[in-house]
Amino acid sequence: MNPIERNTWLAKEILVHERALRGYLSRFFKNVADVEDVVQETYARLLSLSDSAWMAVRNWHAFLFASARNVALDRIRKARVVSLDALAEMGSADVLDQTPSADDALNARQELALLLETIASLPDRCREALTLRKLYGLSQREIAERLAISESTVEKHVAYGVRLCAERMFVKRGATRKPDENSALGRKGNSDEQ
Amino acid sequence: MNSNQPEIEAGEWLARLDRNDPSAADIAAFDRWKATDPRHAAAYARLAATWQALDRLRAIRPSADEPIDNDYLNAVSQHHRSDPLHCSFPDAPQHAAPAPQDPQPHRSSESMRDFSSYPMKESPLYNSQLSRSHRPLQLSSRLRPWFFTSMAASLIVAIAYLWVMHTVGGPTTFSTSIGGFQRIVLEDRSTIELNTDSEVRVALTPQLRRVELVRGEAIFEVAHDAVRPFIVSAGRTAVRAVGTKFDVRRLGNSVEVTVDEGKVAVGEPSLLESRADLLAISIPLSAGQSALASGSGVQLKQLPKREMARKLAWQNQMLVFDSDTLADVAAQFNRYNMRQLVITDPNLATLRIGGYFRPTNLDAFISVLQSDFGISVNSDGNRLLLATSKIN
Repeated sequence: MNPIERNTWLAKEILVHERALRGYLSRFFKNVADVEDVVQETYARLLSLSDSAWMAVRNWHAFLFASARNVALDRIRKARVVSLDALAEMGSADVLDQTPSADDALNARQELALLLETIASLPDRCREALTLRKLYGLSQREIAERLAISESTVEKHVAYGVRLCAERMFVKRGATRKPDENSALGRKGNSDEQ
Repeated sequence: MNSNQPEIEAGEWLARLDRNDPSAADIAAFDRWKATDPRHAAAYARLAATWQALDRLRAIRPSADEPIDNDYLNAVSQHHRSDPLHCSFPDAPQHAAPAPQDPQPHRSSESMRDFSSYPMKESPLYNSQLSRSHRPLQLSSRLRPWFFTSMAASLIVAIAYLWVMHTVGGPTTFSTSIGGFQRIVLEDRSTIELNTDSEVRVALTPQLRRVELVRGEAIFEVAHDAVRPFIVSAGRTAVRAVGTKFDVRRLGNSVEVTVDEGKVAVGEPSLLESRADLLAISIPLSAGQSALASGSGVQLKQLPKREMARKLAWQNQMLVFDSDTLADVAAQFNRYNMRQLVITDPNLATLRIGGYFRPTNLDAFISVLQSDFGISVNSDGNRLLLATSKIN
């Protein structure tokens, strides 16, 4: 699978379920960081599937949740203090109960609306940089000239902007809270999820 | 937001590799990073998928007739939100409409078609503001005699025509010194008038008529040639025309473009030269409008006829003032003369002056200052010190 196909597959088959997946995992992990780690680890497993294994998957939604459950179980078992509650919860929650919700799948218009909402929710400068990059196809250098900022600042807007977009599109769909502009640059590593 | 280390680094890598030409070293470092930990690859893939999904926004890219709007998506999204059932987007603009009075351009797709759609926010570059000057031309009555003699003088100015034959390719340089004026007729019959202390480099090719305004100010009267665009670049700003008359002036880091006839496109030099979707990458300016492009954006202005005539009066080697401050008037004269007017009395700086003057006839202006305004003028080398006369 070439990168473009893989990205399309990831967005269409996997990332659309991320919000539901996080909801599912948050039943076992109180800490958001743990949920994030499990999601990431799960994606890593999906991406490392061999071609033949990949071809064999018929239901990506079910496969995603089953994989996440395995990752979560590994993590709980490896924890220094094993949470029996979590293990019990894990055992009782049937992963197959997790059917795709209707709003996981978007038609083209809803998807466009979601993209627009996502972009609109970005901090001003970041939004402009992404607009120029994605809508008008300007290069980072051209954006820097146009906005009279350095190329490295544009790069930071892109780095931060794409993360925020992933958040808006796959985690907090429809949320339009505008983050503090200050957090766009400079501040790194702190979750603004808390 | 995800904020663990792989996620943050993935964002940084995506942005780095999204640059024009990531170096081989960057790519090698990225590959190493990705191979270090499967979670790196996963975090990166997630962001790459997001980044790719954003490409779908191109479906609503504004028509090629519209200039780039840094905040287009915000405007569209507001429109979209206010009318959730009707997901329509602005179509091709009808090109610049006359200055509207509506200060809220964002609410409808209608308003996005006209000039008022450019002012979006205070900050974005290449946003424009439209304003009208309502001030009527008032000639100070005691300067009227000057007005007539100067007008007469302007009529008898003999303009030297310089015919220039260009070989294809190589640029030719023309320049004026302080107080100078030159009219250049190009082989395509376009004309360039050079104001004081100005320089242009002209290169005509079968595909393109390219002029670089190296310094100063020039008026371009472009002979119509649809297949060979005429592009004037001044620093980071360029003007593209097919057949029209406009003035370009460099002021420090800014560039002022004033259109007397026809239409031009104002934008970034390399884009104007290379891109066919002209109006998507530039700001259209039509007759009667001026644009001031600087590091902080492009400001658009609608100029009344008189104001326009005043701005272009220098091509007749005239300066026209209309209740301008002495400070501004002095700055104008100083463009044309080695001898520099220096206002030593701050009270004088805001004195209002009107009338017509020959920019190079500084002595005539000085005598008006002395006789009509009671200003004392003392020479100090090349400096002419202006102060309030003790006698008054």
